[in-house]
Amino acid sequence: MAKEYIGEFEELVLIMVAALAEEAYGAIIAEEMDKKLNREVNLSAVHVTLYRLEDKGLINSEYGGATKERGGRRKRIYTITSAGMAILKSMQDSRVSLWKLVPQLKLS
Amino acid sequence: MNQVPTPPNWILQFLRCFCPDHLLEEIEGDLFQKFEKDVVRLGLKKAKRRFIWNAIRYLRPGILLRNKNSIELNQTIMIRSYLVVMLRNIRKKKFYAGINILSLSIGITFAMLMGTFIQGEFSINEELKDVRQLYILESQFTDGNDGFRWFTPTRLAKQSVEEYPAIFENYYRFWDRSVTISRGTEHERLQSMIGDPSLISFFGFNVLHGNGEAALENPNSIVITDKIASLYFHKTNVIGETLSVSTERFGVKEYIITAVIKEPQDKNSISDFMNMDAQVFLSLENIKDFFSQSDLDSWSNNIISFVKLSTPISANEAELTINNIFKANAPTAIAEQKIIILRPMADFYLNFNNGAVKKLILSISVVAIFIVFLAISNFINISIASSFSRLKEVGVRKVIGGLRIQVFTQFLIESLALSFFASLLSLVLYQLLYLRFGEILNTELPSIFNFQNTFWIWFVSGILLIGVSAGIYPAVYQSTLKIIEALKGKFESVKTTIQFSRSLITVQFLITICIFITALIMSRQVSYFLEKDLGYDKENILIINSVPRVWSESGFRKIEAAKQEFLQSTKIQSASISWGAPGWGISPISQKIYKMGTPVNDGLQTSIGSVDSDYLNVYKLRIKAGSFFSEKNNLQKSNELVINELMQKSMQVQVGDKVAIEDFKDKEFTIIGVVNDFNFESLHEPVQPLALISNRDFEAYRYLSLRLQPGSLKESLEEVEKLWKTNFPDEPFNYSFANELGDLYKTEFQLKKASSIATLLMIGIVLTGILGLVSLNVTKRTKEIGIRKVLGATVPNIILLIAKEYVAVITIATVLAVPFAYYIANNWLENYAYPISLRWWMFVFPIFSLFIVTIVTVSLQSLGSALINPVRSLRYE
Repeated sequence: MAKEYIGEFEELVLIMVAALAEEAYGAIIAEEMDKKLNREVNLSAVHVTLYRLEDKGLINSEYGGATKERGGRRKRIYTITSAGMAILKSMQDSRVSLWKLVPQLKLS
Repeated sequence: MNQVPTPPNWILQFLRCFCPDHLLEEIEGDLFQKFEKDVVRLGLKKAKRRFIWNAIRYLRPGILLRNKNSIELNQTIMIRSYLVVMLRNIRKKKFYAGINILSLSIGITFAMLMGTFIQGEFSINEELKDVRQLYILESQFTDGNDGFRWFTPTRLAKQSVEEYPAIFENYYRFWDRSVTISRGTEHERLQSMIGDPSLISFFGFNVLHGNGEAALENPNSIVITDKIASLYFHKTNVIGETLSVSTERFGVKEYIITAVIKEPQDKNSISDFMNMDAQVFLSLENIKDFFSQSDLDSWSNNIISFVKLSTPISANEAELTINNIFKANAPTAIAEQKIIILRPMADFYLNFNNGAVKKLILSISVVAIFIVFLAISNFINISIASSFSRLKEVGVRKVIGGLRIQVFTQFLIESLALSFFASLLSLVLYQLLYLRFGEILNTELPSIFNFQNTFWIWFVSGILLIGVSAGIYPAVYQSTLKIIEALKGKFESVKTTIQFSRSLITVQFLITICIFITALIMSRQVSYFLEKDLGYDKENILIINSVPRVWSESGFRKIEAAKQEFLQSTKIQSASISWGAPGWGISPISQKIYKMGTPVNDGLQTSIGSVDSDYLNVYKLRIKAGSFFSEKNNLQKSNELVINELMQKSMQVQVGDKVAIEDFKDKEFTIIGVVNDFNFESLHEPVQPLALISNRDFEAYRYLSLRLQPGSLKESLEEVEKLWKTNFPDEPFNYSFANELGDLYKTEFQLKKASSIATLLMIGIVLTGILGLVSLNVTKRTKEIGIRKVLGATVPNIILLIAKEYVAVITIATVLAVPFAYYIANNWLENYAYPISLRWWMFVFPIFSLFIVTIVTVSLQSLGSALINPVRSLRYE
């Protein structure tokens, strides 16, 4: 287990950042979560989480180029750090090992 | 690009208010992106709604707390820049800023002085223990007669407490007496309260030494204030010491000091009941030393009573109960005469004298608010006028990217800062003026170091309110200026702002004229009080009120002998011994007088005063029929009365008729003369029926009145004092002049002074405002004036051009103000039995003089620029 604990929503956002690779920014993360997980999330929640993850050193960010869309505002692209990757992995592992403890009964 | 739907701008501005700058771009971008998607998916309307909602959702700690230093730093820099710009502006235009700050601080100072005065008036009686449960008993006479309202049967309060202890917790009753208190060679005439032993516990007076509870339980005990203790003993712990008290029946007696209390709050309605300022307190156990007829358990003997109600009881319920007790126990004749009312002590002072103090407070508050309003209007006017020169500044700010809200904040901060300066200045002014002002208003105002905390809350919120209300208008219109116009120095909304400031000036004039007229009328009325022919001659009469009140045969002989000695002096024309003097309480009692053989209740309620044969000469009353008392009345009882004309008319009696007096039932009085109606009480009321009785019949006297030779007052006074000392070595020499009637009109004097000061301040504020406006106006029109002069305008033409505007303003204000002032003055005068009649000059004089000073101010201020050679003014660019 990593020393630092992250919450469920944080974990989700972290995975999204990892999954979207070079294309992860606030709006798209919210959109993808909506699409893939069928979970409507508020933009502000995503942003707050992103900042918190950045504070913890699990992701990095830098500005992308400006476009005509978005009212001319630049995107802030997030990338996962190795620490972030490690914590994801360790959480995944611990989940799996925990799953193994669950009696695998066949349910009708 | 234009067709692209955009989210509402205001919500973005809202977001900018709280969102940290370094996150803003990203968040806005993402919001936009979401919005654009929503527009496609849900349509514009819904998308907008979502956008707003999403933006509002950013108002959460996760975002807000990321602000930390960034936003504050930025704002402080801007605020500092605003202050710097403001200071530069002030320095550049010292004159206008000076006018602004000065008039604001005058306004604030006046409001503060009035505020503390009002707070002081409101806090009177607050220091009494459980003041909200204390009530005084008042008699309301059912037969339309007007006796002394605060006298109720001696038995009433006591029996109420005994019968209904669940309703009435306790009572305190007293009679007041002025006594001479002596120790060694120290003699002072002091007011005393002779009352129940409950005194100290009832009112919660602060006991410094001795046992407060038991202090007045034994006869011959006396409670004094620390002030009196230090006066006689030069220390306060004087328990067990004795003081000699002059009693009215047994001469000088020794009393033992059983308690020393701290002097009660300056004005309270107990020890300062009707301004008597009692300093010594005796026990009712000793009442026989002062009155022969003094039954404390009687329904016909009256006393001033206070009761304390138990907490859950309402005053109405208690009032009902006390009236039931009264009706059930008192003899029918007395019970039918009056009903008893419970007056709360908490606002007793405010309601006293038909609420005169309340009215005073109301008028003063209105005046104070007006003054602050005038100061604020000045501020607004001058900032409007001077903002023309700041158009370019605003333009440049906006071009560089200043937002409307920033310009708005800038101007608001400026006015807040100015009002802050003004308030600092006004604190200084207050500290300089409060003593002087307290003197004028005849009261004590606290120094700023003694203000209560609530005052500071009021003060700070008042300053904020003044700052905001003064700055809001200039801030709004400066911030709404269009950039191009501002940069060009043009001002499209010039017309509306000029109209706005003109209407402000009109209102200023309106208020000033109103107050000026009413102040003038008030001061005329107050002078009339002192100038009116009162029916007697009040000049050159010295009243000695420290006459020993020994009402025995020897006492009468002593005072009569002394009077003869005074008459030996060439400085004294005539002398009279009497109970009272006109305006100084001529009559101790008011009783029914009735013709012999008719029932008492058909009699006429009459004030009765006791005098001697020389009263007529001293006060120069005029005999209308019959004769006045003769010398023999000074020596023996005669059962004769002299009445005033009003009484003669109301009772239809003639000289020689026999009448009886309610409380002297066994005696028959002969009317021997009729004197003219003279105003023996204040001019608030018309003359009442009056009967004069000789001192001997009345068995009492209090004053020695001396009519002095006109001329050197100082010498006469010295002579009288010398004579006094030889005749009464053991009595102090306390005197007044019969014409010092100011105390009767205390609230009127206060109002007069406050309103005259207010008028002066108002005129000052309005004129400084106009001074500033005119000079700004003139600078703005330099070129116009130059061109007019080139075209042949003369100097008077130019001055007229500038002054025209103000003539119009004053005319409008006058038309509106006169009915107002007339209404207020009429209403105010209705309160008086002897009002002055309103004359045209009372309206014309204030308007005319205000007009003149305004025009002179305007002319002088514009004269400078009217005289300038047009060559110079036209060259100025």
